Amino acid sequence: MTNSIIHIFLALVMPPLLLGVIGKTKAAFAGRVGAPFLQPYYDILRLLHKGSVFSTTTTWIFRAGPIVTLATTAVAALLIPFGAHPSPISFQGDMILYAYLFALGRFFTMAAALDTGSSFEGMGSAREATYSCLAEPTLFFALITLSRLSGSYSLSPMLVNISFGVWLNSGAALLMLVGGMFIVLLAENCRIPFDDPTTHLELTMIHEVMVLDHSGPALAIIHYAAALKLYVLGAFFVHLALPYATGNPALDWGLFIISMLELAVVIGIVESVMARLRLIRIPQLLVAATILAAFSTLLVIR
Amino acid sequence: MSATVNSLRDIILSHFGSSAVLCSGTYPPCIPQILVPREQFEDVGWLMKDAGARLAAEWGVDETLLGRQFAVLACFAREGEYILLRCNIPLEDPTFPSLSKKHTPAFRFERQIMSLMGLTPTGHSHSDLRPWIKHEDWPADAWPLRKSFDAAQRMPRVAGEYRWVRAEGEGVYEIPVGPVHAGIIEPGHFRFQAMGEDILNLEERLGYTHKGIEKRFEQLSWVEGARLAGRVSGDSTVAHALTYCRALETLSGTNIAPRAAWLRAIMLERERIANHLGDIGAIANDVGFAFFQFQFMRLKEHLLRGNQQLFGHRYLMDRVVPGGISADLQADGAAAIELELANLQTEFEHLVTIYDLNASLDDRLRSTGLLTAETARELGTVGYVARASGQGLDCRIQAPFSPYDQIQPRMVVLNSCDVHARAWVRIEEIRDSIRLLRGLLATLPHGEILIPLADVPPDSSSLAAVEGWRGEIVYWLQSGLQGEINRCAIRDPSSVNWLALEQAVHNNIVPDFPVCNKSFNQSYSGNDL
Repeated sequence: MTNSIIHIFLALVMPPLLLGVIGKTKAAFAGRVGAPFLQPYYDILRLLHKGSVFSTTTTWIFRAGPIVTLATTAVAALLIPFGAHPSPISFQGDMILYAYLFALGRFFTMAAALDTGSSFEGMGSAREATYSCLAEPTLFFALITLSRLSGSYSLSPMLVNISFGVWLNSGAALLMLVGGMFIVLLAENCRIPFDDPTTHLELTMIHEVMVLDHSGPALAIIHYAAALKLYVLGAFFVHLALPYATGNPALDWGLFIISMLELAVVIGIVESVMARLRLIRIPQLLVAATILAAFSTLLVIR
Repeated sequence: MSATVNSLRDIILSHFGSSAVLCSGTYPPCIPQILVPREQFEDVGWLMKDAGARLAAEWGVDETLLGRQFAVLACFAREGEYILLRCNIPLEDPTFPSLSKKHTPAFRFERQIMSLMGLTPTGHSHSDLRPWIKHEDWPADAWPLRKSFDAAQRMPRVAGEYRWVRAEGEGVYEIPVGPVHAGIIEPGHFRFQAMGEDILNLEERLGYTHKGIEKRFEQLSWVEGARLAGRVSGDSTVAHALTYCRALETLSGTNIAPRAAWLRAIMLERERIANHLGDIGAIANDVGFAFFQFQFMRLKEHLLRGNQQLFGHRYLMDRVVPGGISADLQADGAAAIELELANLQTEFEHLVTIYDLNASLDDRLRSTGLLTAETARELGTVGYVARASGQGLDCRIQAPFSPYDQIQPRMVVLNSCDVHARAWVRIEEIRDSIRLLRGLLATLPHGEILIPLADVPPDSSSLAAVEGWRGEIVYWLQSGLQGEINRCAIRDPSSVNWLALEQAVHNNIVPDFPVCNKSFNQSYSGNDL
């Protein structure tokens, strides 16, 4: 019960901090002081205090977009174990639900974008649809590999199962998974080299251009849901890459939080040292991620 | 190639015989103005094309206060050689033969002449007589550059529609961008027709910053004009003020002091370095490499603060004035610049190494936004846009004035024609400008910096061209009967280079447009006037 409360508390409170850490890391690389760590919280609070403007050409779909996205991401957050602790909700086959909750959220984001009738947002939806199709197989290969390693179809046993012992036995498979899932993590969360969440250039955007017409609290929800998605997918990735566990619950929570912050720093470094990919090259990298994940599946199935 | 190349002037005079007349009262003497009958105007344009000259500028002039009627002037250039072609136009039939069949840049020059001066080009290659710079919410017969137009009046708003180029078909969609953009930049409208991510066509629509600058000049004194010229395009304030002052000093026969000439060159090169630094950072930022943006912004900021300290203005506005300059370099200034340049050079070279080694940056910038050498020549592009597409054009070298005739700037020409080339030309030019600054400081003469302007003769004209950081800037000044400003025609490099951007984005993908645009970085204000 205590663990579930901590789990929900972290999922509610911590996600924007990751964005703050990424921003601070990038600032450090550029030789700037940068915005405070808590800036993403201030931004969300500021937006919550504003009014919303709705175009008269939009329907309920436009208003439902942010809410469905937040709801699906929040449920996914309850399915994924944080660190060594099992998730609050867990059942056989929840990994399929986990994968398609994101798909549902994305569907509504794209539908809301198309609802505006703006060519910008249609352009963004087309890009999002293309690249998410290409990112999905990687996630599924990863789930197959993990379920093979753990003998379970539920996320909690699958992910908590990974330890340094598993790394010793199936190191090659896990290493390829880490590579493939890191690429998907960046792509799904619209980070450089796939997308640039900080750019002001509409023509280059993928995610941001789909939410151009949202304002006020709706935009705050979108920002928060995006941070939560990074957090949830990040927690998945941290299980693979940094499977620390001590057996002491308090210590394990601390380790999980530190691992998540480390991940944010790594993302910040990646964003500092490389430019964005040319948009037509993104499929190449996503296919590479799929191949990595497919090979890891091959290694554990043989 | 024949060993002896005839001058453009000789070509025209020998070809047209007595119907071509050399005008008097035009300065400098090396830039002749030739009057031809209206019906032969286009023929001379063809002749100039065959002689390898480009159309640098074309503008109309209302000479009713000089006891004449209208005239259209075309400025042709071949390397460092300039020539003005003129045809007179009667009031009752305000039309002139279009040059656009042979000279592509004429396409927009003539739309502008028609919109603002009310002279109609005939035989226009695309029959494109849509307004340019002046938008359709002004009455079609309001021609602000005519003397009869009262600049103080409020114009009534009228309804009108601009006919866009259209593309239709399965899967073709249109993206209207601007005129107000997300970044802190000037306004301009870009309309894309795209299919998936591929750009089928881009059409620019400018004029949103039209301020009536050319008209305003006619109400100012010559000295006040320099201040206005310095505000045509804020990032090129030195280059514009300098071009204006050079045209004015040529017209009045004022010889400025050597120290002033040297310090003007120092300011011009400082402006070049500062803007090129900012541009390289901005290009990298548009492909998501923010690290460069901040680093280059920092270097630029150091330089701007140096300007403030040395000359009392960050952008050196109003430092170039008719007759010389308004702020002298103090005794310890040279040492301060030397120190500043040493620091700049070290840090700059460090960043260039990073640029060179970063594969992801390389992948984005190379082969993006190709402007072929042929198109660059055809469109009469100037500045780094031309030099990155294999065109050896630089007024500092080809039409030098003191002190550029003594310090030999290096011509940086690249042939890869892409965004990378446009960035790399800037890198090489920064290196060269640092070298030039050192040379200028070493030979800086002593003496006065400002001499009084001599009187401007009535009914005379002069032309000056200066290589600003963006490229060749052209000013043509004409005095009235009392020696006042009758006409000040301005050709910012942007007026021709904007055309090239439309061509460079063909076959590119939509998300690469911003970086293509940033690699051109043309001025809206300088184009809209």
